[in-house]
Amino acid sequence: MKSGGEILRTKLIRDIRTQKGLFIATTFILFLGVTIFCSFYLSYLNLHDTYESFYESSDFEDISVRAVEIRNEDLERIKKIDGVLEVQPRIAVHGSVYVNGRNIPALVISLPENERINRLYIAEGEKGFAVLKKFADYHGLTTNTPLVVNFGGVKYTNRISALVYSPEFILIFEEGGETFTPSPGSYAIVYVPEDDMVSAGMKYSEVKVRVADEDKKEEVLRKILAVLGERVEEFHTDETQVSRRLLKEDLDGFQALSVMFPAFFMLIAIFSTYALLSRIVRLQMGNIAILRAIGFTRKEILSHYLHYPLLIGFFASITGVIAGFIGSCILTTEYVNFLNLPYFVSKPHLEIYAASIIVGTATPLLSGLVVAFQASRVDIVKALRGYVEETFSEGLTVKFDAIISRILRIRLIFRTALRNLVRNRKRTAISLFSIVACTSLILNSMVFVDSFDYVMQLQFGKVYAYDIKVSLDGYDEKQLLEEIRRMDGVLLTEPLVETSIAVEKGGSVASTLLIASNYQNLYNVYNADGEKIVPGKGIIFSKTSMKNLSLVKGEKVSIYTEFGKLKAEVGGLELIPLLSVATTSLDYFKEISGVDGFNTIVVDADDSRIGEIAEKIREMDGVRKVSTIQEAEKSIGELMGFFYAFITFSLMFGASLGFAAIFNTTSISVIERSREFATLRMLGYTPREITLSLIFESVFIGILGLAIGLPVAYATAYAFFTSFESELYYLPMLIFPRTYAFTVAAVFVVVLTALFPSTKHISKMDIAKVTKEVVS
Amino acid sequence: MIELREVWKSYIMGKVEVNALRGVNLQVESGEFVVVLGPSGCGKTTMLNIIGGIDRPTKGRVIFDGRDITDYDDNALTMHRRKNVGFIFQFFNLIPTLTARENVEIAADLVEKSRDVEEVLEVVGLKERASHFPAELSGGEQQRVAIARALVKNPPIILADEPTGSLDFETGKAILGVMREINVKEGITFILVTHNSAIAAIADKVVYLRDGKVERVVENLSPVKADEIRW
Repeated sequence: MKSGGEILRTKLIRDIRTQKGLFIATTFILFLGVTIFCSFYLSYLNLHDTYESFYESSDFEDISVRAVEIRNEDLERIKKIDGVLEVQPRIAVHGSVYVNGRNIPALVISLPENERINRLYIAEGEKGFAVLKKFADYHGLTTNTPLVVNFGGVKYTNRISALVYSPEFILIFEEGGETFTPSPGSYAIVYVPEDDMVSAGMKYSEVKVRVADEDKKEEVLRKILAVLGERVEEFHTDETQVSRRLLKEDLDGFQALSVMFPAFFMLIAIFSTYALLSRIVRLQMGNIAILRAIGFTRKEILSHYLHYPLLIGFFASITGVIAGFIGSCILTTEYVNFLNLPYFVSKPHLEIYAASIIVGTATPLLSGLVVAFQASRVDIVKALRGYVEETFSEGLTVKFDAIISRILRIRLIFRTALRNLVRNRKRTAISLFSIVACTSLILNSMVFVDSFDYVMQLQFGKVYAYDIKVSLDGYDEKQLLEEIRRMDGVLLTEPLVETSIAVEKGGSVASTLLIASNYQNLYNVYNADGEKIVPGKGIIFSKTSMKNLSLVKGEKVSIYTEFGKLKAEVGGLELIPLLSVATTSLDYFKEISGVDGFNTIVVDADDSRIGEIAEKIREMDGVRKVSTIQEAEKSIGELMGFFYAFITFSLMFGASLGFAAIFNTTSISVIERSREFATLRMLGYTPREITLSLIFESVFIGILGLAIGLPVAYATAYAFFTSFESELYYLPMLIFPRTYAFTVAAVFVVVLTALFPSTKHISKMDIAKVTKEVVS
Repeated sequence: MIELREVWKSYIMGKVEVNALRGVNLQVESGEFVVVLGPSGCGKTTMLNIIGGIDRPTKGRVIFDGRDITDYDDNALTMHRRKNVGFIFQFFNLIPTLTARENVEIAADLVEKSRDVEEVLEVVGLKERASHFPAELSGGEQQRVAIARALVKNPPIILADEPTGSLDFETGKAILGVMREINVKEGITFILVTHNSAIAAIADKVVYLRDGKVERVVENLSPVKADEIRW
């Protein structure tokens, strides 16, 4: 004979079977939450561990200073600074690599015999003349392939000894360039043995330092800057190194996302479990009374009804953790492939699995506890009567409904739909919350698309009004400008200065790219509102990149440039989209630097001859790099692939969450009202008429949900954007009308699709059976 | 008005086939008050549902006002229910979010020439309580609303399934009285199914059903008033 516990367990399984759709929907919401948390958080930890491991194993720099020239006596003085552990000077110059018939701009770095700081990870070959592995793979280069590198007027030819990874270039950022993370097709990092570069007459331009005590880093940096004086061009610490800083910002975003995103799902899961369990308990009120009457204790009833959420939570957690682990592997691998990393570290992180299972199980359990407690406290006598009358009384609802019906002149069957909204307020609240969450997830995904679209339209439609950009080896190439101007098919040319600078104020430093131009025809700088910025006296800085310096218009600040430390006036502060560039006129640049010239030429050409002209310019002496707008757009497009995949993923999750949650509440609502629908059908209403009333109800709830959801979604998107603000780039938050339309349409599709199974239930219901059932 | 010819209804319950009706033959004339009597499970409700068009016979024919409704599809049956049938149930089946008046109006909304809602509510003695929601009404009052709802469509027939089953003796009698009065005054045909043999006394015709078959049909030449019966 089965024990009481066994019978209750059998009942539990059978109950789940009869309501399997609702159980699956609730479990699915929770499963998604656990999966996202587990995969995102594990990926975050994997990436964090990977970066740290790489930085640690390569003895990453604590301090880096670039100067016009670094002499041996400077190095000796730096070595003697208290707290300095290691000092490594190096040569780093802009140059180019000749690959597959074309010159590709490159950063050429000297490789010392005895690497002590930023040691390279050799993926293939032996130490020596090296290129980054990703660059080699992109161009089909292997070890032993001969390669020609041009730097400082020297043509250096050697066979590739090694394909490497560098901790400095996990994310590649082209110094003095505008492309955020250039493709290996357009930029190279090349390591040439130090002796070869020295023999070619090159001098040290950078010094990398490791300190003994982290706390003394700033002090050591100040002392190094004092040693190099006015020759300093740029400096940073390990935390502000561009690649590392971008990765950290990215990781922080990843971490925030891995908590915020699943939190939505968990909240919906709490409400869904509550709605589902309330429905079961309500349906089984008579059964509970009988169980209590025959001797089951309150504790046993409580425990029995807690088993439902426990089972949901346990199943969702276990499957979620498995899916999360798989997801984290895919996500980490894809991410690592996107970056320049030789390996990835994947530690077990059992604490995350445990946290996922605990949170995944506790979430429905806590929500179910309230209902299970109510079940255990059922009034046996009342419940045994088997007739629990639903109360509904006159109130604001009816008055509201009367007003609505007077305005809309709708049939009574549709008015009942409105009343159902206040009939079970908790469930309506759950439905509304589900729609709000769904709206937020969809809009928050789409807002990134809009903002990127806006910025791209601004950049490629207004900022870059040129077709070809020519970066020169040096300054003052008036002859080159004339030559290009005279070329067939060239319509207009404009000289620019494009250079990296670092601004110092009150001990804080911020780096930016300075664009100096007099003409503002082919290269324009726009603020976030789409207004053109015309520089006059002084430098107009980006508010984002300078936010830590509290710059004031008109004040004089120190700037570190390739010409050493200079003084400049703050000409203004603007919100500048995407890369935080600073802008000034060529005249003002000449005034502060004494350099009468330019290092970049932008060209407007006949559209049909852009490629041909770009090739011709590439062949000209003194040209370091030629890029076309089409290439830049293509490069951005490659980067955006990952971004759009993420947005699609996020949209799918948003829609799934909305569907599962709304399906749950709608189904419960329809099941509970089966008797009413059967009565309506018995009276002579067709399934179509009843379905229309349900659609009306869903549309009304959808409108209400959107009315709350859209402002909430806007606020969450704003909070999200603010949390992602960076000194390195600025993305204005924009939502196009098409996105609101898309969100509204998507929400209605989700709401109406979730209704579909319920409409089938109505058309297939056994009227005779339902109308005769005892109300309980 | 209604004719059942050799009507069979079979259900598959698990692996067993159950015959709820086994060749029922019945004729109900317009304006009759018919009581179908029988123990639980004898097929009373099944027969009522088939007449009302919420179920279909497995075999046999159902003729309603000269039209064979046996092979009607779902839509045609819905229209049949809409125009021709009023239902009254044991558990009232009122829409809890609608007031008494609105519960009647929702039925009136279905037909072109419905009766006046206020008038119908007066007939069942509920005019004063029309603005109340079902939860604010007694069982008897709820059943009166159900009668008014059935009546408002002005159907030629009203089918009542254990209409007094959930009511106390006095209230049950009062409800039967209302139904009989409507039948007499307005000539609407009533078929009432019950297991309560005392109710048979108020009928014009009593149909005894047993094991899915009509055992006998008795014409009651001197029906009594509802307030005279006891159980």
